[in-house]
Amino acid sequence: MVHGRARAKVSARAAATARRLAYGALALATLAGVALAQPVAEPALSEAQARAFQQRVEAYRALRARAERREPAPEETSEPAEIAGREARLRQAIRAARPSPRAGEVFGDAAAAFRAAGRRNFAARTPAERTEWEKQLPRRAPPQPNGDYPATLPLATFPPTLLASLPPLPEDVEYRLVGRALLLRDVTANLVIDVLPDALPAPTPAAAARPDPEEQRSEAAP
Amino acid sequence: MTSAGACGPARAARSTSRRARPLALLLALALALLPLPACRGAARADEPLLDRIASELRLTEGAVRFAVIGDAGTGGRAQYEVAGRLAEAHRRFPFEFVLMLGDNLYGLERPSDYARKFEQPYAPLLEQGVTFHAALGNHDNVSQRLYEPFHMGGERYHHFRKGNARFFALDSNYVDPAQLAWLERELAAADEPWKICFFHHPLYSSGDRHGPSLELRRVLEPILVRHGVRVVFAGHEHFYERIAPQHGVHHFISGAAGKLRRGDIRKSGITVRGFDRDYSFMLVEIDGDALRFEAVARSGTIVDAGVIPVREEERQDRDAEMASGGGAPAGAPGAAAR
Repeated sequence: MVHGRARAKVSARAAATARRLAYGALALATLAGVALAQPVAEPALSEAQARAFQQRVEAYRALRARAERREPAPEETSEPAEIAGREARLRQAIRAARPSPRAGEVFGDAAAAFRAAGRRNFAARTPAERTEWEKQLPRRAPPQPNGDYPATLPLATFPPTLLASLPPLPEDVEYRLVGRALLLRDVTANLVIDVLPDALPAPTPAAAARPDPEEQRSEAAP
Repeated sequence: MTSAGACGPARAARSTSRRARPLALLLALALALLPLPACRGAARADEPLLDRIASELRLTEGAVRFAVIGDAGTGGRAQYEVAGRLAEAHRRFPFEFVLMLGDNLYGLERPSDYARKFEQPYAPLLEQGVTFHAALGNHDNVSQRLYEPFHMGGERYHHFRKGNARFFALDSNYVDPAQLAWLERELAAADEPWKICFFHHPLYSSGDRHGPSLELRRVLEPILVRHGVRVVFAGHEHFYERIAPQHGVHHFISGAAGKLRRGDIRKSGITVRGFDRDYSFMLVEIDGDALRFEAVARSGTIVDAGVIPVREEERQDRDAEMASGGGAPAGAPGAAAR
């Protein structure tokens, strides 16, 4: 009797252990699945590529700094006219100093690596995250280098995991996405520095069927 | 105070006999559709903290009082009507400042737009000395950071202190590693019992058009939780929604101060209260250990109200300080310094 009870205890313990192992394996598999689904923030560019890219960005900023000596950047004020006026004059001064920039000249030979990073990041997303991303991207043709970043164009959230994989930029320059293009934008002058077309994969048919966020905006703006 | 989980349709259905069940279900459905502000739906919270009260703002001396508006800057009639209601609310509940949750200026941002979409609608409040603190939305040019009445200090993300609370405005359009590092550092350094974040894109949402910002949630939420952020205000969705606390953080969406996406809420398991039938804004009061809130529709109806207690850890710290003879801390009721 005692032996029988002991045997029953042992087999119950074994069953509990097996259950725990099964749950553990399930949890591990779930975690692994989640980890696989996370966009990976590994550097998009090799060290040499990143260094060369950042040097080109710095060359642009040096040009901008020279322009700023003639037309100072806007500062904090309660006068919106002053902000807009200074921004526009600075933009003009930069354009005068850099009259015909070539598309892709700042992205340079790292262009392929930027495109690969975009595709990789997109591919690593869950379907929900793909949808989330696609539905907020404005679909119009991107502005050209030296163009204004249009005031009516919404700023799609730049995916933080993609941002983490790209070379860091100084505070006054940022990455932007318009349609499938990756832009470099001068924040202070609201000027497009460079454009990289086809940096993102083509939208899924579902995303292409959705209304453009830009249209939603113009319909609602009075 | 009534526990949110103990009232409403579910309770009505439970208390009836089997024969009366169809009738009870019909009654429950009818109750669910009624616009009752304080007793609708069970809170599927991960903590039973949030009790609902009928009218909530107590005007305690020294409390931190503010309003919250999101997606306001259309310059359209609805924005002006909500602004009028906000000014009216200020007369009964004199708030000191307003949080702007982004999309502060839709469309063009010419000087005349700043006037039509901000200065004119809120003129009565600005004249009373009410200050506005803005976060950037996806329709906002970054140059808004330079506009002094938005109190951004020339930065895309910033923080400020009011009484026993510290407010962190994030730029959710562009959460780069630099911003994440800043947030981690500044939250760690903040010793106020109330840490409140506000930004444009909601981490949780039941909106059909946008829905939650999943990737932002993945990068931001661990930081918010790690550093004891208690409340998050977001906009982007053009309605009001209160989400059940997630990992101890209370999430509000208040993005209908100028735009409305009627019927957009697909009420989910995390929705405690949703309101998408009219424009709205929020009124908030931090009074020591309690944060009281109201969501107010353009019509003036209170569509939600409640109170959130300070985090248990903060309360224990305060009690320990009191026990060691540290005197009245900043978090004590009535002791909040401006």
